[in-house]
Amino acid sequence: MAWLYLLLVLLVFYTPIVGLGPSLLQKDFEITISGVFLPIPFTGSLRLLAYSLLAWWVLWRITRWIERQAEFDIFYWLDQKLPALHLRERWIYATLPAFSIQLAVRLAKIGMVISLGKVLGVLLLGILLAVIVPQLIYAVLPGMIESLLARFPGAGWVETLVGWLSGPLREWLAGSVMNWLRDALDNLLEFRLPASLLAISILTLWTNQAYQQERAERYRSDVERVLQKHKLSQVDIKVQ
Amino acid sequence: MLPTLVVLWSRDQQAMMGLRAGVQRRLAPLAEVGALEWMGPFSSDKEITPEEMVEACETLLSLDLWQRLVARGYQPGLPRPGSPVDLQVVFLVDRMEAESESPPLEVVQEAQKPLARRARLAPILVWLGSKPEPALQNLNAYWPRIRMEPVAASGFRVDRQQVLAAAEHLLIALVGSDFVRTLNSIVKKSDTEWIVLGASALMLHPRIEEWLQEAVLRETLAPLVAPLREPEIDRIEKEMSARARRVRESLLEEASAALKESGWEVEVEHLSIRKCVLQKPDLLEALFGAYRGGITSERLSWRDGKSWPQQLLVLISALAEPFFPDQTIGEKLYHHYKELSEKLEQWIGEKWRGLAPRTREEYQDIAVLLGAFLDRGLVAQISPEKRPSWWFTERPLPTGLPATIAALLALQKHLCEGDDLEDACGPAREFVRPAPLNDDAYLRAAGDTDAQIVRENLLRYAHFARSLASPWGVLLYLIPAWLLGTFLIQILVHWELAPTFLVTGLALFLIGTAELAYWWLWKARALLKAVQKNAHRALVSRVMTLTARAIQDYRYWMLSHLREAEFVLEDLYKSFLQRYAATEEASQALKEARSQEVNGCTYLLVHKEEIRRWKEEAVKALQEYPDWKGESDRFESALTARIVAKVWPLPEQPLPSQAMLEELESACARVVREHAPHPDRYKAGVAAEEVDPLKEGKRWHWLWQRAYPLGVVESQGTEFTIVMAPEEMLSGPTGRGSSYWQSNWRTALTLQGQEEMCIRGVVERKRGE
Repeated sequence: MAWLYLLLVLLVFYTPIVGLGPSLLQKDFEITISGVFLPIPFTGSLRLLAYSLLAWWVLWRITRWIERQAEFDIFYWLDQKLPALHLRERWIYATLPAFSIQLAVRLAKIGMVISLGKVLGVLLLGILLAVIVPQLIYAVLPGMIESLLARFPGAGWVETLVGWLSGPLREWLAGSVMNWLRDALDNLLEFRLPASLLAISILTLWTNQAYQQERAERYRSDVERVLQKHKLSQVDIKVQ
Repeated sequence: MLPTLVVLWSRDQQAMMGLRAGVQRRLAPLAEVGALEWMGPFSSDKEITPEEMVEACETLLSLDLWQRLVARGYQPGLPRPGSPVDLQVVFLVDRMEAESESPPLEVVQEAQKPLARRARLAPILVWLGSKPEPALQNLNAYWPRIRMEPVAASGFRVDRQQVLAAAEHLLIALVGSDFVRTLNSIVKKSDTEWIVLGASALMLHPRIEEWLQEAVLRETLAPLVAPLREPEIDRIEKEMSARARRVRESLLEEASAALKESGWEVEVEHLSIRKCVLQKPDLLEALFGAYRGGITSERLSWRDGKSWPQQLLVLISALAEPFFPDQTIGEKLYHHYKELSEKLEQWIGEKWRGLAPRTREEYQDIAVLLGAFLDRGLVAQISPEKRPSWWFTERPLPTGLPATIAALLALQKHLCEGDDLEDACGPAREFVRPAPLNDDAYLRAAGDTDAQIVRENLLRYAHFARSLASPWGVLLYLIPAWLLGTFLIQILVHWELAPTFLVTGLALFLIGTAELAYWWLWKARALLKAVQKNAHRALVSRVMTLTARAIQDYRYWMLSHLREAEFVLEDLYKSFLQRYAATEEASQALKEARSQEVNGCTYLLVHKEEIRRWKEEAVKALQEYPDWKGESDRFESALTARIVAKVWPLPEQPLPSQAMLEELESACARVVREHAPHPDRYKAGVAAEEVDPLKEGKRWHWLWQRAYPLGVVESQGTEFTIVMAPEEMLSGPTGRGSSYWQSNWRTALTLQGQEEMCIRGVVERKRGE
């Protein structure tokens, strides 16, 4: 059921053009400051992810709860009703063709890796650009010059070093390095990652975990059912 | 010639038995007819009774005997009705050495009384020894009364053996010629008290015929018992090896026919089964379901008339819905194995209770082929395709009993060794071990075991097929990948959403389809074929072991019979070899035999040239012996024809070797006596012409001289000489025309064509006349 609900959720939320995803993505949470509505970035994506995850989880848990409570296996029932489908055998328990069956999970992992890479890259570049390099230029280098001059007054090599630190190095950091970091961040931010990819990846991976667990449970219950059936078909031998 | 009863009276049993044997041998034709009866030798009047004499005469009164005598010309005809039958009774009394009681001469008269109306006895007395004094009673009842003494007419002393030899010649004359009639025409009975006689004879060596029989036997047996040389044994061994292999191949061909009848398609090459495929539709259906791609490489459409889409559907259905046989296949396999086993048993016959016709034919082919080592004539009985022509044409294999036995042994050896069946269906050729049993319990266990193997193999595929997703199952897994793929491609190539979505969908469709096809149509199909092949292989192996078992059973049956035949032939070979060795002495004696005088009144003649011809013709006649060869002209020799008919290889109850040998000896004796030129061409007179002292008529002089009367005559009467010889020997310059022939000699007709005898006598007149 986990996978079926994933398909359902994907159909409802993420189907291009017709799904609910685009409309939810555009609706970021807003805060009102002095009567001005300020949208919080990425909250639309988070909401889409949250809604879809919640929908999937609720559906799956409810179905499973009902199945457990009623001791009813829907796929077993379907197999009984439509034996030609071999629903459990040809879908749930099948492991071949391995590439096709695992393709969605692998793509989800790739999506996750790309998404996380982008987030981490933006964060790293932002910190370098906003904190580390300015601190180096405006706090670390002057302090270092002052310290050198105080400790080695009149030393010729100190003057030379101080001259290099306050001259070329500072210009290189303030100019070239800052420009490169700015360009890199701009480029990374320009590499537009659909928020849906991250959401679907998370949803798919999560669903896969749940699906594997559900499959194992269903398999066990199938085995138990077979054993029970076999046991019932046995004749008791009474030794007098 | 009258049927004659000879009564011997003597204490010298040995001499009398010798005398009797000599007369019997020389008068063999008459003795064989039954016209010569013997009594005695007696030495006491208590031993001889008129009743016994009457009884002995009864045998001579047989109508059958008389008819035979007439048929052979010994009698002109049967006596006129009402006339009594004439019989001769020769009373031979030996009084030369040991004195015995006076013979009861009246016994003949007493015997005449009960026979009065039926027979007229003509008693003849032959007295060996000096004249009895006083004269015996009833002496006058005998005629002629002949006396022979160990003292000759002029008082010469004569050896007892010579008297006995003369007595033998006399008996021959009395029984086998019309000597008595001739004598009656010379001598007046009323004036005569005794007739003192001397007798001499020229005769063929009496043992020639016996030696000749042995020599003929030797020549006949020689090729049969000829020893084999080592190279010949090797050649036989080699040919038998090839033949044993052909036997096995032939058995496999026969077995493959039984397999085909049981629903197996079989291809056989020499000792190998190259192809063995179950063709029984109901059993195949029960074991493997509708699809049997792993069992036969033939396209289904060839057999079932299905088009390729239908075949594909059958294939997909078989792949998707793995067939699993029900619990009854063990029973079905058991019934199939039982049916097959019964067919194979039917082929070899109902186990040791007789053979099926085809098997019998096969065994007889081999038996006849081996029999051809005895006689090449048997080759004609072998069908041309089974006839190993090279055995008998260029450098033919040897014949004879040792060759046959060697062939039998070699065939047994090669039939014992090695395996019957080679499995060439699998990747590696290997010999098939016969099933240890083929009874009902074994076949049932085999059916259950093989059913389990089939199930295990098909279960292996079923397990694999359970892990394969269906197309819609793959589709369900691919739908999330469609979205993920769309977004990822969008990131990488910055396409618009709609085309990216479509391209991704198409790519995933192709990937899914290709992978489904790979796993279903390639991997799953290959596995299904492999498991079907493995399962079918188990059945093939079982069928082969059952076939090997049947062939082995048949081979053992054949070996047991060949072993029996070997014993029979070895026994025959030993008997023949011993007999062949025994003929050596006689053969040597025949070589060394020559014409010579053996006692004072007998000259034994050996006509070497005639004997050689006689032997050759007898050997030839024996090889063509009609009673044995019959209509089987193709046999090279009557003896081998007889062996084939009575000993090996055709009869089920072979004639014992001793009986076979006795038959051979009897046939040899008959051939030597009847089929060879003897006695018409082999005359004593002709032989005598080769001997210097006898040639050119000198034999008459020799005979006359050596027939000097044995006895001293008191009152001498007529002297006479009677010669008994074949008429043709009396004519010409060496007969009566010879200067040695005396004109007053008389001749008498004789049966003895190969003898010439002379009897000289002096009549002793009655006293007082």
